[in-house]
Amino acid sequence: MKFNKLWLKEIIDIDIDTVKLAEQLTMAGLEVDSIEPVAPNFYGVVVGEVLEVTPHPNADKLTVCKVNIGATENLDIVCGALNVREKIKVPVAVVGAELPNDFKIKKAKLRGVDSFGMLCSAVELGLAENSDGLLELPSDALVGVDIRKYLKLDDELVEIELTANRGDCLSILGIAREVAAINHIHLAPIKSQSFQVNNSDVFPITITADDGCPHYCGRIIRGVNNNLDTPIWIKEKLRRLGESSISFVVDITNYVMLELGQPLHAFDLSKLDGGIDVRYARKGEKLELLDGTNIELDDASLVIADKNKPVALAGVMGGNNSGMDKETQDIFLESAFFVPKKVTIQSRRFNIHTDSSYRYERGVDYNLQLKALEYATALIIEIAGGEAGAVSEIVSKEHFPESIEILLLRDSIKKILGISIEDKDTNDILLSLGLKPETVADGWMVKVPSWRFDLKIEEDLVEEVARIYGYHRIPEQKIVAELGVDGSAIARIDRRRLYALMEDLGYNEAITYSFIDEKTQALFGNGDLPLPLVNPISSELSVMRTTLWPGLIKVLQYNLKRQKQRARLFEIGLRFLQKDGVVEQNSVIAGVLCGDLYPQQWGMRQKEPADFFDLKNDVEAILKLYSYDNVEFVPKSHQALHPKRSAQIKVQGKPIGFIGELHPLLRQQLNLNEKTSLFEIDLSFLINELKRYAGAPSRFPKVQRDIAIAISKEIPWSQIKQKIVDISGELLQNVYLFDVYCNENIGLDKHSMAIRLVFQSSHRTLVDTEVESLVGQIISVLQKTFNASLRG
Amino acid sequence: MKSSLDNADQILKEAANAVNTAPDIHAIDIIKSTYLGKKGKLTDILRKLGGLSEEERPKVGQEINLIKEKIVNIINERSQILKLAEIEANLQQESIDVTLPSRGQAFGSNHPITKVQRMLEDFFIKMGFTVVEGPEVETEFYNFTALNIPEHHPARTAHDTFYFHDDTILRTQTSSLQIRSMEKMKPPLRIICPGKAFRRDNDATHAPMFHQLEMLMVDESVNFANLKWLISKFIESFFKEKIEYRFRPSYFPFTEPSAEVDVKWKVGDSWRWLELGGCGVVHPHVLETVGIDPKRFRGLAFGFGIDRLAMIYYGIDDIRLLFENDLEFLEQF
Repeated sequence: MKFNKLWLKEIIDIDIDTVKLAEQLTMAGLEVDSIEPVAPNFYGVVVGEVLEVTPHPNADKLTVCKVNIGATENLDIVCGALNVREKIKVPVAVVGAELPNDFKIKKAKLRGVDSFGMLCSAVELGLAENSDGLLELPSDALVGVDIRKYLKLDDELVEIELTANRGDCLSILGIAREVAAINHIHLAPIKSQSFQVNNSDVFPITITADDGCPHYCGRIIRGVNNNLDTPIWIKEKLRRLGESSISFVVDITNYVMLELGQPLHAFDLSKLDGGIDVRYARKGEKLELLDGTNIELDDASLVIADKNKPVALAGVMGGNNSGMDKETQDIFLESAFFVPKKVTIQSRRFNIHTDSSYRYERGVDYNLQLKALEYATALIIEIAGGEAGAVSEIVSKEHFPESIEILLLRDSIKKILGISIEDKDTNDILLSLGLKPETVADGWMVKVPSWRFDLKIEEDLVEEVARIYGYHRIPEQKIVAELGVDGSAIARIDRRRLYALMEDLGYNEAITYSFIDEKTQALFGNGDLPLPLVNPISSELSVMRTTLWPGLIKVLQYNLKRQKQRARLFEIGLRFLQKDGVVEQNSVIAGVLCGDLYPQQWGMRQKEPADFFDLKNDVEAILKLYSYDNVEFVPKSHQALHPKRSAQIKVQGKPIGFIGELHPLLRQQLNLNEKTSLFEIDLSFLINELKRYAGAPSRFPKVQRDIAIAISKEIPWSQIKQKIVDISGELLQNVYLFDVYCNENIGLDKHSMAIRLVFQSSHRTLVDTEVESLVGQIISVLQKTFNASLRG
Repeated sequence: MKSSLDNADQILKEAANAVNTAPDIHAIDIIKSTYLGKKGKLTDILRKLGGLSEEERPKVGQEINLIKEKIVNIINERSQILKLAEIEANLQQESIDVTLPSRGQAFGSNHPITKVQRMLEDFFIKMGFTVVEGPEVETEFYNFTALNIPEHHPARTAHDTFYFHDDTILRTQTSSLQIRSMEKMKPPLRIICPGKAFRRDNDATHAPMFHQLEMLMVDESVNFANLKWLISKFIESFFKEKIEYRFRPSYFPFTEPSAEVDVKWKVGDSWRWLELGGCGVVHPHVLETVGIDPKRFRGLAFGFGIDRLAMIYYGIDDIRLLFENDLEFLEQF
């Protein structure tokens, strides 16, 4: 919402600095976005009259004009505008003037002819973005007057970011009411000229759809000169508020809308058949709107129709079939109240948003229609002549908004705001807002005016009192509340431990969008179908991720392009899986390792690309946080992973995620030169299983034996280890692998595993023979079960 | 007998001389075996004591043992000196350049939004608030209807919502968690809900995804003045100094009265009001919707932009940096 200060001052008598005014409005809830002058700085431009126009002797496109600027001598000015002609009045920049952008006017010789100034267009004065010639001023403009004074250009434009509840402030009048309330100024009613009415000239109206239009009024005005140039003072106001001048009557309806907030519409009477009916459209009816859009109506569309056809989309825009043109003389002027919801529905349904629909959607003063109609009629007749007919008016008692009264208790103010406000202050504030408070036992019974339809309950009134009283005058007050134990805070700390761990493990946290592009999603989805957005911003952000990998891979690509050779990234966030018609939104952690294990550094034996096992260690570190000891890595393929280097991660038998090296084909496709490994774990399965038992270490000596076996590569270590554990029983304290290697002597399909066995009893010293016997047993079972052979 | 002792004295002199001129610990070892070893000179004399009379033997033996002790002492003393000298010499050899870079894994980082979110949570956890999280794919009911934003309400259109099919959307505000929490918990309650929210904005100052921190407190006697106190304490704790703030009247369908909170912050050379977020006293219709009696309880709520706070805190002036995830940027945190 924009308003200019001079227009505001026509309605409210106030002398206030604009910055101060903006501050007041902002602190009353009407946030001022910007203050701008309505015209840039310039001086030395006056109203001039072109007396003579003669062709330039040396240039076809130029003319030499004799211009009267009210001085003793007329000026010779060379001009190139096409619309220059004798008798017109235009702005003249005289020698010594300075136009916007530091353009100084000097005496000049143009193609051999002396020129003492410049005739100006609106663009040259910074009043418009474009124009097609000189700015023509009305013929009654006084020659010699400074153009800034003539056009009242020493004015400022204030733009307000209006909240959705304040439809009442979508007018100069509405803003004036707020200013009046804040400054405790009485606001005089807007007056208009009286005019003659021909009571026998009535246009018939009916309302069939009274649930969408509870109030409709209108009148005929005959003999209007629509060909008339709109007076400059109206044009200038429209221009400042961003409306272009269209035709005289339309300009007047816009003017009244901007000043009072009531949208009006004028039909060409000669194009209306019979009378007006406000009704829902019939399926299949069509309407071409004034902007040329063709719409197909349905039975939910609220329209203004005549006997035969829809002539306007109610509250949104008029139809071409009943629009005015230069020849129009007789009009039917409409002023109506449409139900906000109905206008919202159709403005959205047809995606047409106008100044009118914007106001109706937010609500219009339901008692304003007749006043606005009278005001517009007076302006039209006063300026362009014509004869007004009698007003036709229909009010639907059933659907017309009821005026309401709200009980405001003194105690409620204290309870909600935390402070007591003097009764007199409260009463004054309510009055200044145009509310009508009546003192009752414990407070006030408050009558709400028709324009404050946003006030419905007691709390609304408390806010009104508070914002005019001043939020800044409400002192801070310490909260006193019961202590409470917050169970979730403990869980939260563990999530933080996870973030800290990842940081310590050398990972940088990324935050990527929850929606990603469908193609990348398909590369990593492993068959999960993503939830598509109906209205995405772009195809790059069109489906909900079913895994965090695509986001991380994009981050990786971005960084590799920027000369990074290695990266460790992680992200924690929701992924979205469609399961039986429900969207499962679990929190997961995902990580990616790319390039060398360590950053390049001195004293390193060789460059070592990080692989599956480096990542596996990090995954184990994560699971260790949650004290799970039953963790398995089960070989399993995944669409995005190397089929022989990927595993499903299981905790207590439950699958919770995947780990593996990125599939080489995918790596190639994504242009990732370095080896890349990924993991993802569903955190919702990891509840904090804190161990509640700890044993004492054995005091008896350990006995250590190393064995080396040659064994098929196909046999997973987990099986070998399990076998050893099974055979050894409780005497085996630890078993671990300390070397794996292959060479030609062992055979291509085999590798050598060096295994350390550690034996220990909790209650006695072991004797050599029992250890030897156990080791022998282990070797023999490994030989038999896995066809392993003992090495050197 | 005399000759044995003379010999021994002679050996002591010899040994002492040898020890004192020994250049290193290795020479000492040789001296040790030359005099005291199994075939050493003194051992040899001791062995020959067998030829002496019963009377003389213990006396001479004692004398010689004394001499042996002396040699051992001399050797030990000298060894100690030589060992120290050797270590001293090695120290010089082992000199390193301590300014060379360290080795090992690089350090990682947490995202600035995560770090700031944590600071915000800390303040409220200390105040006894519970951290609550919830779904990003949300129903219109939780995101709008239950928050007193009925269908066709202008506030709904202003949100530029992302839609799925039917009434499913991406939440446009973390306020949806107010409803979810009040459905589950009984008042009095104190919660905060950090999380992502989504709107169809994508320009220099808006990302289509952003982070919010929602606060909700429902109790019997809380009021607007309490809300001012809570927020001012929160601002003071976050910025680690007392900074100027203001409550500016505003409108949210789910609070009444409502306010925007601005802080005065230096941007470049000038002080400006920066918007932190919205707040207010929970609208009675919202409490009624979740079955809380608005006559008995009142709610205080706010929703602040975490991304905005992170940008202010770290002096980041371009929102795109937050979601570009450039490692050079991330590594700073």
